Amino acid sequence: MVRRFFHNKTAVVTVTFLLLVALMGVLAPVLAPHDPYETDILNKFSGFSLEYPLGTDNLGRCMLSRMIYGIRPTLGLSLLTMLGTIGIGTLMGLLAGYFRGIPEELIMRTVDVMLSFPSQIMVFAVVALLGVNVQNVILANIFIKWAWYARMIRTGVMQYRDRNFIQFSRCIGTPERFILFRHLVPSIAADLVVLASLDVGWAIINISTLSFLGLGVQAPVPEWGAMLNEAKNVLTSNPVQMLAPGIAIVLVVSAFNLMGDALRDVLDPKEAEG
Amino acid sequence: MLELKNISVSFRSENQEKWFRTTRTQVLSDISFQLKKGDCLGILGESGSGKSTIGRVISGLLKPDSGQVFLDGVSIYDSREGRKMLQSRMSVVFQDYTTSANPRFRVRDILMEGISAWERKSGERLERCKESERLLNQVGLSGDFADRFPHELSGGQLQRVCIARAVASRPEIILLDEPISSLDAHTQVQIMDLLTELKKLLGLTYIFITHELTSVTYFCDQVLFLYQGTGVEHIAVSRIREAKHPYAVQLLSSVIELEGDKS
Repeated sequence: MVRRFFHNKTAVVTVTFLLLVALMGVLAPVLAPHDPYETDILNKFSGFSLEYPLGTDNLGRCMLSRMIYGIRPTLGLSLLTMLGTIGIGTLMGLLAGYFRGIPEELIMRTVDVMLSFPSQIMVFAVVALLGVNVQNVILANIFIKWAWYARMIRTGVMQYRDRNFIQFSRCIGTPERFILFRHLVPSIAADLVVLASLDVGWAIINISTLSFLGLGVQAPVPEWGAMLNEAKNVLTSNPVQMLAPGIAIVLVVSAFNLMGDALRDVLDPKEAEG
Repeated sequence: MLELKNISVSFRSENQEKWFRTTRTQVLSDISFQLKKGDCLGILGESGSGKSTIGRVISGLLKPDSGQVFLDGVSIYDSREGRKMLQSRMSVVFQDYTTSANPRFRVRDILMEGISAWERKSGERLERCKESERLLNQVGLSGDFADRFPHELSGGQLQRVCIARAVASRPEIILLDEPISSLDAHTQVQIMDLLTELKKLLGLTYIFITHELTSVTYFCDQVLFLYQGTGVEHIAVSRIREAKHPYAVQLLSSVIELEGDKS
């Protein structure tokens, strides 16, 4: 698998890029040239310069430092959301797909109910109900999105549950635990990775959207969506302000999507080794 | 040792004429037979005659609508113990070898599943590497195959691995669900010879599901003709020419004609 990974250029490039971004987020205090909260009102909206490589924002804060610090909430929160949705979705999907009968009916009807609401509206409703807060945003995202994954995973499981190798395991009395975690989970792992990486992309956009609307990460904390929101106010006078956070979001989200595709190829042992 | 009594199975039809109505299609009706230890029973029938369904009933995966399956007098669908006993004494080889083995497992891991089934029921620990090499040798493959993936093997080799996996749990009965039908003629004979050899060596009982009369006559002691879900004729292979049911007669005569053509 390691060899297949290094043969796949897209996988190597996107994974390296995302690891670098994550590393930058972790090392933010070392890398950032300024304190992201330090205001310098006389220097607001200054252009690109050696001291402020990406300029300053409406309060004269260093954009580059804010971008680097912004990696933490953007990437961290979306990973957390992804783990939550995929975790619950996988568990529910496995249970529904493998055991069938009453558990399946219960889970899938709940999923149907969840999916019959427009997801964005539900997120707003949950956030409005629980209060404007980052934790609530994540909770709302997980609460809305798991149903979608449960359904996808169930379809994957149903493809495999009647395969002969699982029939054999059931015939000789292999424990269900082994069948679920050694046969089924690896079989759907490729789908799972694609879903998970697409989900991170979706979560980044969603968290940024909510911050942009003022429902997610709150004002002084640097977050890419919130930064876009601040830049929006000066769209006509200082359009350059949009560039850094906007491009960063596009790059990271596309990197996650491309990585999902590439990892699918890497995880499939039948893919020709070349 | 194995006895089927009045087994009937039906499935819910796909196309229901009215809402909420559950019309059912009868797949097996009133099948009974007995099997002695060391026998090899061939179950012969055309597609859709219920051969594979009967296989699923015997292997404990499908509870029949009515009727009982007894293993040494214990009903296997009535209690958990019965099912456990069946699982520890039965194994299975399928027709479609491409889906028989998990494509993400190496041959070693495929065999390990059977080996650990044996370890579970006997409580003894085996040296797993040696055991998997022994099993591979037993089915005529060298030990180097242990590190390969299923897609790196030929059909015949993979079917041998599946047979090795089936005997790894040291069962007494093996259900062979068309194990040779998707192989070429030469490999078919090799696999059948291998199965005969294993049967002698390990004292196995076989249930051999197939649609080919020739392989039944080559391989089995008894044959059960299955026609549209009913067992129409159960007869020893040595007396197969005395079969009376029209379907069996038709099947026999078609083969005899073919053989006549050749000579």
